[in-house]
Amino acid sequence: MVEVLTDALTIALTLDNVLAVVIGLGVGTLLGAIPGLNGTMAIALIVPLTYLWSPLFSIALLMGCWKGSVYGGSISGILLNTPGTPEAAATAIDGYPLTRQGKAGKALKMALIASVIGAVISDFLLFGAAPPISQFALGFGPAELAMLIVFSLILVAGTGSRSHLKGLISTVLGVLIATVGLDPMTAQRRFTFDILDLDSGIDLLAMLIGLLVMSEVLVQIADGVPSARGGPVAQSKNRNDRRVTWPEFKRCLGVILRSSMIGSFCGALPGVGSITAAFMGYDHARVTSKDQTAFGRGELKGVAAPEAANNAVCGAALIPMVTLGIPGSLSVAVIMGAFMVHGLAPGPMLMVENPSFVYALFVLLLLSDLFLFVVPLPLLAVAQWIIDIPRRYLFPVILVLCGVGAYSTQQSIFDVKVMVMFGVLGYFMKRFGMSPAALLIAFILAPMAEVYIRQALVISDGEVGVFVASPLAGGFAAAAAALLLWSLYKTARRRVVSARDPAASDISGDE
Amino acid sequence: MHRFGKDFWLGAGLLALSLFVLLYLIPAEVGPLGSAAALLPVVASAVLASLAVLLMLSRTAAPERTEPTGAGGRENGDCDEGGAGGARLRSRLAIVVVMVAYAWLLDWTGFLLASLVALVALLVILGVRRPTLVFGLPVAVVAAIYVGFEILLKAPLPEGLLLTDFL
Repeated sequence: MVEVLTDALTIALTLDNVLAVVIGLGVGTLLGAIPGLNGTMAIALIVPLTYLWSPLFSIALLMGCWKGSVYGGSISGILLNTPGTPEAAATAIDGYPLTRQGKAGKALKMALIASVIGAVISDFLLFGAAPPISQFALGFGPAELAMLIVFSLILVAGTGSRSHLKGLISTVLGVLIATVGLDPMTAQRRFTFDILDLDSGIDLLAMLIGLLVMSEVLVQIADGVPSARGGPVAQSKNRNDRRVTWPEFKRCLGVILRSSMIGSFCGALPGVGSITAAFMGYDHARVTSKDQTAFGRGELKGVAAPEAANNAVCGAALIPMVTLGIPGSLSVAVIMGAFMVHGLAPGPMLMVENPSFVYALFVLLLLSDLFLFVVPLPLLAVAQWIIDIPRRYLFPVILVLCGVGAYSTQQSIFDVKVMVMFGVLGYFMKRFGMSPAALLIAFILAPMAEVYIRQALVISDGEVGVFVASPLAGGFAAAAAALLLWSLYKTARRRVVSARDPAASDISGDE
Repeated sequence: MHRFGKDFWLGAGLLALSLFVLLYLIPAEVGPLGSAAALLPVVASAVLASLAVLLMLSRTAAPERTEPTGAGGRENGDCDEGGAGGARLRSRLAIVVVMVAYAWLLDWTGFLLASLVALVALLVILGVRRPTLVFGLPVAVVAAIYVGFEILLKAPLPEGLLLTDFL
């Protein structure tokens, strides 16, 4: 173990890797600050570039970008009341009123402090939990792994869609699309239509860029391209209004620590995500406060809590990916795509075959938390300038970058066409309230699930009972069935409520 | 408005798709329905068909109600009411056409020309009218991407079949 850690420190602490973290944080902060261009989109656009670099450099860059974008989203949320990322919506509730009071500096710095603390706690949790979970997961056979993935697919079906039914449909579509290409066990062509480019299946990155980035641009254009000029930021001349004082920090520390645990818990669970974490953190801060009426009017805890929670998601969200090979959220799915591009297979074997790499990654994650303290602050003025760029100038550039990004991985024009196709599909999915995120995660997990299912059936001579034979496999299968039934029950119940009282129902077009 | 709403027709479309995949595409493109290679496609199609039917049934039970006006949720995209909504629909269609044309042009003319044309077209579609921006911004962006990818990152960009054929 000591030897592995020493190797990890040696591998991690090179100038290149440290630079990757710093650049990632900077780029992520700036891109996350732009409303409409969230961190996942930013990472999706950067992933194709990393193909040319070493795995550790690439993943350190992407992780830095992710963490930077989570904080970056709060910048526009606090300054403009327009969150750059969805999870920053909770931060804006009290962050923007603070800006209106001339205390934007205080709000931004409290958001930064809370973000760093949340991220550090989460990374230590990853550091501590990943090795034992990986060890435990090494005992899983094909049947257990297959049922675990099925359970995870049903769990993440709720990601990105308020309708569980539509989330399940999106998941199944992802599974179906994943079957395009060569059969993983017999190498037989499936749905290739004699197109050679399809023999290797649909390219993940091209699909990712289309589903996440191009579709989002189309959606925002459909909703009306804002001229997106930010208002001037009124800064108080009082020095204390531009910084966080020690008494203020002490007052918020308890909330920060508890929200960090909330965020870590949400991050470790597949399908929960940072938006839920941020709002849970905010609600916790509000209900435990002596003065609940102060929330929504510039309460500093209302900034600290969601920021601690949503940054705490990042490290913990890597736990299921690193240990079990299961991406619990869209951002992690994109990061997992980067792992796969570099020939690394996330899962329990990763810690066995590449322990030094995994611990080196943990070291760089902790380093990114330290740099998170210093990198974004000087960029606030740049972020403010970028936020002011009208979307109608940004969107064409983003769309061209989509094409270039899709081309870059395999130098294939076919991938650009795939990207456009999935961009259109993603647009229609969002319009119909379906979940591109669930489709993407299913697309990544389905090939693994298929291999495990077929291996299990071969081992058991075709006996389907193998999937419930062992306690673990049976447990995952039962949990998957229970979750599925609960989702369908929830759908049916909402329809009954809606039929009795239309005013009590959710927004139309949804369940 | 439709009695059943767009989700009903979404369900119907998905049901049709899943039956098409199950009954035609899998036998044609994969193999017999009982073969090992067809296992996952068959299961996925069957589950999709079931979920599609559930979606249709759940919408059949819903009361008929008017769609909300105004900004509305994103799920109400088919309620554009002409005017600004029609203009946005044309913008979206035009952008998709430009992106399809961009993918085609990349193949024939390469990155530089295709990206310049695409950027100019996209800026015009989104309402940019100042000539300095319509032509200047694409040149700056294409140059930056070219320098970034080809020179700094050594990541080749499409050269275009026309260029390679003639050279």
